[in-house]
Amino acid sequence: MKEIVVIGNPEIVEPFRAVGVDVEVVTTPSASEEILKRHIKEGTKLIFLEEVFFKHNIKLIMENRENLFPTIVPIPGRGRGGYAQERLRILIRKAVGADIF
Amino acid sequence: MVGNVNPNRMELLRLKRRIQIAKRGHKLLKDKQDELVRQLFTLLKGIRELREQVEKELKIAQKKYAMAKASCDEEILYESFLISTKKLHLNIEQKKLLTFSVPVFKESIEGDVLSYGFSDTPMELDMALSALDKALKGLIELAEREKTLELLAVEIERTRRRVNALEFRLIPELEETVKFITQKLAEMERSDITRLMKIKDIVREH
Repeated sequence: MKEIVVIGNPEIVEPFRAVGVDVEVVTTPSASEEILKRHIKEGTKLIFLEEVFFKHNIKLIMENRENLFPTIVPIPGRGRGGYAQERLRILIRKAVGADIF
Repeated sequence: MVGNVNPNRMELLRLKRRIQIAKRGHKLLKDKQDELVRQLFTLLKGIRELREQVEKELKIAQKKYAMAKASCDEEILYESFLISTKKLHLNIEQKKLLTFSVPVFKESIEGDVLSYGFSDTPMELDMALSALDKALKGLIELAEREKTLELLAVEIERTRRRVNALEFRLIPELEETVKFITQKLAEMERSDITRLMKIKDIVREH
């Protein structure tokens, strides 16, 4: 069982090796789904997932969102970014009923 | 609910007790909801700035790493990753927040990220790894805070749904049923009195 893992495209996740973090290199959304499912099953505690793959696996992530672990956090990668903040904004708007983020 | 209820005093007492419990539950849940929202506001402070800062640092690291990759052999880069003595250990705990648990991540970092030889590697690699190293602590703190926020938001939503169900559905329905039973009992009483008076009149005539 791993404590922390980073999943994403090679140019995004490779440098994480140097800071002592386990890395899973994926290049396609379907591969990211497989790996994410495996880590959820294995009980990895903290998963950093590249935004583009986070979007693709949102259904799987929503299924596990009430569980304490794994904590899945989007990190910026290829593309425009800003998805993580938008997701938090929607989450808070749904909970409080107003856009306060 | 009004349709399939027995209009008797036992039922009336039972329903009145249920209304009392529902109202007490509603007040408690409303208090819980207020406290959850207060906690959410406290947690929200600085989370956006932290996310922006971490994303900025990660973007710098990614940019510099792309430049390093373009100007150097991939094998040399991978070798420098292997040489790195940096080790990250995550101490994972749970903290109770009202009725649910939230994660607490405590990282222990040892070693140095720049422990490879500088002669073969480009300067951009040092900059990329330094930026990433700087971002790592913030990233773990962000993970903890975002997960807490997510769990709080889910709990607020769930509590709000319960409060609304009690306030707009269960309590009004119970009150309506109590009203129905009270009216029905009064009607039965009136009907009994009328019947008795009628019987008395008939007895008197004979």
